[in-house]
Amino acid sequence: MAVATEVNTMQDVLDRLGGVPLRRLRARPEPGRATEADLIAINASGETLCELVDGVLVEKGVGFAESILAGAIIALLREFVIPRNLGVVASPDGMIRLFPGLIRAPDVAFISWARLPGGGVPRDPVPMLAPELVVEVLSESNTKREMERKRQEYFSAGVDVVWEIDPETRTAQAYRRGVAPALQLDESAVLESADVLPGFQLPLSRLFGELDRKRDSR
Amino acid sequence: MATATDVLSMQDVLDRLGGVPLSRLRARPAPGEATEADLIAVNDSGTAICELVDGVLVEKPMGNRESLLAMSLGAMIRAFARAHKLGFVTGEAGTMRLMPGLVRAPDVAFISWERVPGRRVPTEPIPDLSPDLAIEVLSASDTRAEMERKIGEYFASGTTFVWLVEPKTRTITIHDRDEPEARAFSGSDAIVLNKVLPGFRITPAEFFDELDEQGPPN
Repeated sequence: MAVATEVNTMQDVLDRLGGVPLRRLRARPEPGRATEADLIAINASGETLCELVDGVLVEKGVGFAESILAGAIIALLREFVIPRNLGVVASPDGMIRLFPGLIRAPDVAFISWARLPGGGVPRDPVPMLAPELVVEVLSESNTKREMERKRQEYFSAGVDVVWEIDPETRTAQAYRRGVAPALQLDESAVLESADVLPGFQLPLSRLFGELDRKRDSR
Repeated sequence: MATATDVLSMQDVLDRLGGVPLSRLRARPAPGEATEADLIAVNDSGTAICELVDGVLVEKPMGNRESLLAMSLGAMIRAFARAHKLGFVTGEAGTMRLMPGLVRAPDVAFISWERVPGRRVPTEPIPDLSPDLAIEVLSASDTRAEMERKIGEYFASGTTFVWLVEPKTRTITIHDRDEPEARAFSGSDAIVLNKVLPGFRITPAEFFDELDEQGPPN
């Protein structure tokens, strides 16, 4: 988690948010004053998808190719999770309260029944929980420091595994809680996690191959 | 003057402020929420001199050389204004309300007695005031867009002259409300301000040369 340093200027605010582009910070409610109710309202409006961090509504970096990859990962995860009835797979607009006042909306998340209150699908619009697995598909506006902070938050909240997918370089990084170096994977590798989803495999060639699909030549 | 456009993100807020560095925007009160009471409190605290623009506390950049030049110009104008009983001069913390919700603190301002109620020095910390002459000594973090907005505001409020003093090039650019083009003065160019200080005359060299002054040898 970002260390609490003194916040005097908007530069300090931006630094704590990992230097994301200013266009991703909503101006209203004023930065520092936004609440969970504001977040739910803006996400319900459908005009954008935000997270709530330090009282600031931060728009998620989005992109078309990123969205296709997230969709593909969700489909593959569901193929594995649903028949085995392991839990739920959440998609990019699934808001999760990691800590009071800190709400993230991971691109993809797997949450086992054991971590869901009552062992069912939460009805709370912003449930407080920590998924076993979070996948973030990086877009051009995500900064390294933003992702570092996000990962630390996920791990502090109890997330076991974070996968970051980088469409630009067609690589992935696999992070495990408490394990310092990330696993760097190229397009020939297979993402898997024996701890949280034993048996599940996500071949990166298949994933990134989604970006090369074309219509049949006539 | 910046046109009122939709303010959605903090980038829009920053654009309207003329792209000043984020380190000059106070984070608390949240940008957009600051009031005149907040402005008075922060200026009283002695940590910074701020202006209030669009509900944002914007710090004025401070520098030793800039302050010397402001003081020097202020002293010359003040001596003349007092000798001829024309009005009074304020310095870099002299806040004035140009319009409702817009408080500026020009580095130096000359205000003729005609412009103040009762021909007396106002007693409020932030009087409703448009100076005859506003002088801004430019620092590294002042942006062109910020100054253009400022000049527009001064003129809209009724100011006659705005001077931009540039230490780096040792020029003074004089914006005259009644002239379409600004004029740059340097060296021994004679500056006269008959509309507000009849008889006053200086040359840029007179006070820029102060930057080169040395103490007598020991």
